[in-house]
Amino acid sequence: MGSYYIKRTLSAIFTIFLIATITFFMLRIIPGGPFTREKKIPDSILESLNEKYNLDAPLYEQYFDYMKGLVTFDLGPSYRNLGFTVNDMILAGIPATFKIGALASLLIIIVGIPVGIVSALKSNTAIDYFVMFMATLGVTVPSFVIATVIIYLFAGQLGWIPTNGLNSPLAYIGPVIALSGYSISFVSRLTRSSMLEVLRQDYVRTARANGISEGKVIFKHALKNALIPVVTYVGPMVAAILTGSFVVEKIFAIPGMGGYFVESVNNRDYTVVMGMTIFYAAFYIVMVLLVDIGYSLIDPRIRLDGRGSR
Amino acid sequence: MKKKVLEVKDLETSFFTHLGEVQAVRGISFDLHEGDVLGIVGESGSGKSVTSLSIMKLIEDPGKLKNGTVLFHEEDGNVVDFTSLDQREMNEYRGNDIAMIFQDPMTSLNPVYRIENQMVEVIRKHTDMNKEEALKRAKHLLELVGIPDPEAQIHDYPHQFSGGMRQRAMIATAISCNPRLLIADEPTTALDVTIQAQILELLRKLQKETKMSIILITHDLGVIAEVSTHVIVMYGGMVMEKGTVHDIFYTPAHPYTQGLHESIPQSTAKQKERLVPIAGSPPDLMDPPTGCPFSPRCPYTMEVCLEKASPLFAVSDSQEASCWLLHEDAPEEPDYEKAREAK
Ligand SMILES: Nc1ncnc2c1ncn2[C@@H]1O[C@H](COP(=O)(O)OP(=O)(O)O)[C@@H](O)[C@H]1O
Ligand SMILES: [Mg+2]
Repeated sequence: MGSYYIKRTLSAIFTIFLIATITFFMLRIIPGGPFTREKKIPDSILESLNEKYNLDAPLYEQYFDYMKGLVTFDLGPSYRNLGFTVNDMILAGIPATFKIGALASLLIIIVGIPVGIVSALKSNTAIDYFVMFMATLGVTVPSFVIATVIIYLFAGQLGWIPTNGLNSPLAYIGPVIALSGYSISFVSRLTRSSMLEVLRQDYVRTARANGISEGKVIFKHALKNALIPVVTYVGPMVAAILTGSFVVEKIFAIPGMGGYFVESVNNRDYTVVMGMTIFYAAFYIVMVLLVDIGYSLIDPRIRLDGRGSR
Repeated sequence: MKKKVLEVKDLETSFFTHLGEVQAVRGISFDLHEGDVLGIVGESGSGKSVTSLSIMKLIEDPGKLKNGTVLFHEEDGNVVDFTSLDQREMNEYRGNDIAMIFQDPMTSLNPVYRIENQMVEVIRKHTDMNKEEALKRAKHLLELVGIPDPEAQIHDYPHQFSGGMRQRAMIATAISCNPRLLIADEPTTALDVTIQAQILELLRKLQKETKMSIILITHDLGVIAEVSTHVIVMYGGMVMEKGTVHDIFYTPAHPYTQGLHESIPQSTAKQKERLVPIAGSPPDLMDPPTGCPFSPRCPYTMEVCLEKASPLFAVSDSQEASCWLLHEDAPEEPDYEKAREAK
C-alpha cells in the first residue's frame, strides 16, 4: 500500500511538470507579451521592462529559472499587477472561491443524493417525473443562464439578494446555486439510475429474504453500492467547483481565483496563467487521489495497488 | 402422522408487463410436512422460482399474487396465512421461521459488507443476542457448513470466497435462526459438479440434524433423486404430477414426467448419444393454451386435453397426476413405449 502512494505521488509530480512545461511553451508561441498594449509603449521602456523580468534572456534560460522557482513553490511575480506575486494573487482569490465552492459542493451532496434516492424509490410516479424534469432542465441550462436569471429575478426584480460581492450571507445564494445547478441535477440522475440498478440485484433480494427491514435494505444494503458510481463523479466535480467558475465569478463580481485567471489570460500575464494552471492541476490530481481512497473504503473489491481481485 | 409445515392452495401469480399479463404460476397447491424434502422440478421457465418467491411474499412489481393462500404452521401449532400479512409482518418470519437461498452465490451476498456483518445482522434481527453472542453463533454456523477457518474467514468480504464457500455462507445465514422451512432455489446450478455434490450433501446433513423441512427447486432430476423425499413436477405454471420420490422415479404417471426421465442421460458414458429432450418448446405464458399446457408437446394428446386442463387424479395414496389419461373414461392406457417409437 505504501509503495502505491509513492507511485501515485511520483506520477502526480511528473504530470504537474509536464503541464508546467507545455503551458510555458504554449504561452510563448502566442504572439504578444505581457507588455503589449494597444497604444505602443516606447521601445526603451519595453526593453527595460523585459530586462527587469528577464524576458530578454534565451527561452531555455527563462524556462529553467521558472522551474527552479516552481520547486520551491515560488510561482514568480505578476507582470501586470506590479508589486504582487502569483502566490499573493492565488492566496487572495482562494477564500472567496473556496467558500462558494465548498457551499456548492455541500449542496450538491446533500440535495443531489437524497433527491436521487427519493426519485428511485418513487420511480414512475409524479414525484419521479417532476424531479427528472427539473434535473433534465438543470443539466441542459448553462450556469451563466441560471446566474443571469437569478440576478434578474431575485436581485433585480425582487431585490431579495445583492447583485454582487459576498458581503452578506444572502449574497452567497446566487453564485452557489448557479455553480451547483448542473451538478445537483447530474448527481440526482446518477443516484437515481444507480439506485434502481442496485435494487434489482440479487443481494438486495437476499436481504429481504432474511427479513431485513425495508429501511435497512435501502439505506444499508442498496445505498452503499449505489454510491460507488456517484463517488467517481463527485470527486473530480468537487475539484472543478472548488476551483471556481470563471463565468459565475465574473457575473456575480466575486473576487475569486476565476476572475484573476481570466484577466491574466487576457493580459498575457505569463506567470499568473502558469501559476494558476499548475495550481488547478495539482488540486485536481489531489482530489482524484482522494476519490480513489474513498472508493477503496466503500468498495472492498477495489484494492489500491491496482491489482483487482475478481 | 407428521405435522404440517406449509399448505399452499390455488396459488396464482402474474406479472403485468406492458406487453401483457405473464401468467407465471396458474393455480398451484401442495402440502409440506415436517422433515420432508420436497423437490420441485421442471424446465426453466415453468414457474418454480416464482412459486417460491410467492410463498416468501418476495414478488416485486410488476408481479402480483392474484389468488391463493399460503398457510404456514408454526411450531406451536399456530397457523398464519402469509398472503394476509404485510411486508413488515412478513419480515418477522423471513430469515427466521422460513429462510431461502438462491441460485447464484456469486451475486447473492452483498459485495460491500463482510460476511460477519451480513450474518450478525440477520441473527440479531431475529434473536435478542448481543453483538458478541451473535458473532459467536455466526462462527459456529460457518464451522457447521464446512468453512475451513471460520475464526478468520468470517471477517472476509464475499469476493474473497469461492462460489462454493459463498453458497455455504448463504446456507449458514439461512439456517442461523433455526428455520422450520428452508427454500433452496437451484442452490447448486451455478456450481461445479464436485461442489454441487458437496452442497447437496451438506443440505442433507443439516436436514437430518434439525427437524427442518426443505423445498429444493431444480431443473435437474438427478439432484431430486439425491435428496428429496417428495417431488412436484411443474410445467407451464401448473403442477403436472406429485408424489414420493419413489413414485416419480419408478411409476411416473404423467407423460411430461416420463419425458423428463427420457431427457436425462442414463450414465455419463452414454451422455453424448442418449440425450432426448422433449420435442417442442414451453408454452407462452402470456397466452397459455386453454387446456393442458403440455398438450402441444404431448405424444398422447386427446381432444379433451386441448379443451380443458386436467384436474389432479389420484394414482395411488401418495401420487397424483393431472392428465386426462387417468380419467376413468379415458381409452385403454396407451403403450407409452410403442407410441414413442411410432412418433
Ligand atoms: N419480473 C418478471 N417479469 C415478467 N415475467 C417474469 C418475471 N419473473 C419471472 N417471469 C416469468 O415467469 C415465468 C416463470 O419464471 P420462473 O419462476 O423464474 O421459472 P423457473 O421455473 O425457471 O424458476 C417465466 O416465463 C418468466 O419469464
Ligand atoms: Mg428459477
